[in-house]
Amino acid sequence: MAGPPLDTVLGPCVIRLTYYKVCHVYSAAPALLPVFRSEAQARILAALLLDPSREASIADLAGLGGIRPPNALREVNRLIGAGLLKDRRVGRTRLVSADVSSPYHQPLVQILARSFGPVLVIRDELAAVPGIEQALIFGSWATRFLGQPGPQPGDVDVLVIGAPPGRDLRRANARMEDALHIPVQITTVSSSEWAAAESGFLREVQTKPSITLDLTGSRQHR
Amino acid sequence: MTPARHTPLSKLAAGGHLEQVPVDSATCRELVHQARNHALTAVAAREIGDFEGAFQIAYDGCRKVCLALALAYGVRAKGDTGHHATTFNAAAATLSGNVRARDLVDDATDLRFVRAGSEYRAEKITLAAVNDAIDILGGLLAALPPVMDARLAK
Repeated sequence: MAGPPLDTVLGPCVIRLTYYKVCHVYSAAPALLPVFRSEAQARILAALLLDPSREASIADLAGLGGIRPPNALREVNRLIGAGLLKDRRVGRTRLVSADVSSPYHQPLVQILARSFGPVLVIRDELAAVPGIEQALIFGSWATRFLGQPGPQPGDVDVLVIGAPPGRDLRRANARMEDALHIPVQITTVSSSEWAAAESGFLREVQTKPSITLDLTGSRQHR
Repeated sequence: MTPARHTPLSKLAAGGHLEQVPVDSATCRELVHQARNHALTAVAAREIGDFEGAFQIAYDGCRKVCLALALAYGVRAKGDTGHHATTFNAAAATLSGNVRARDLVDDATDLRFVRAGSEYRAEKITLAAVNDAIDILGGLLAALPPVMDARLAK
């Protein structure tokens, strides 16, 4: 059922959900790679394992997973019990991070980088390129990520809006592919082209599910 | 810099991406000559507004000058998949101590994204991309032939 856009903040990335039904994916297995227990578990693991220097509170992880803090706590306890995450206390705050000594750490990093890494890697790479006003992931990868089942995507389609320097953007594109081991197809349009949406391609991107990357938040985080 | 571009020549060869060939200085110099002509043709194509043609010929010039350098080291990409990228990687691998030249080869390698957008997704090539490609080709033609000549003189 189509409805007006509903913006849901998921940690550092803002995801525009074109369909209300997509909200339900957070409690189900992820359509992108339905081997994890839940979408929330996969996102928490991706956030921590793909950046082993990162420490996050339960509240942060709840935001990342799109779930309530008590549910995040249960997920975290389960993952700590399995030896995939570890925690430490700083005052009253419990900080959680990846346990890189786990024998499953490296294989999971490879799986997560391939499946859930694009949002984080592409966002961080594009945040470092000047002249980008907005960026979003669209196409089959975005559709899977947002919960619609289907074949595994062969690449990641990215739309960049703005006027970034070509060499900087291409260098970032190369780094993304090196990190993700999947082709990343970047299309650049100006902000006026995006606003006018005269081409069938842009109209389709604007009406289909897509993931808007929060470049500002990532730039501030650096 | 990407890991692939940091791969030494010996590892690229051991990985089955390259094959060894006899060094032929005439072939190397002919490729550089062709690349210089391509630079002129690219500028002419840009002047008449043929941005797709200008970009493609400038990209091909970049590939040829990198191939010339690889051939001077007695290697070339195996002619199956991804041989353009391998040619650029091989040229970069010969330039481990020459950061400026290596950066130019990396810039040339990254032009593949523009090429792929044009060839497979029918994206229009912009004047900025053409200018960039011509600029990179000019840089390669200034930086790589001296390295190639030094190698051929050994």
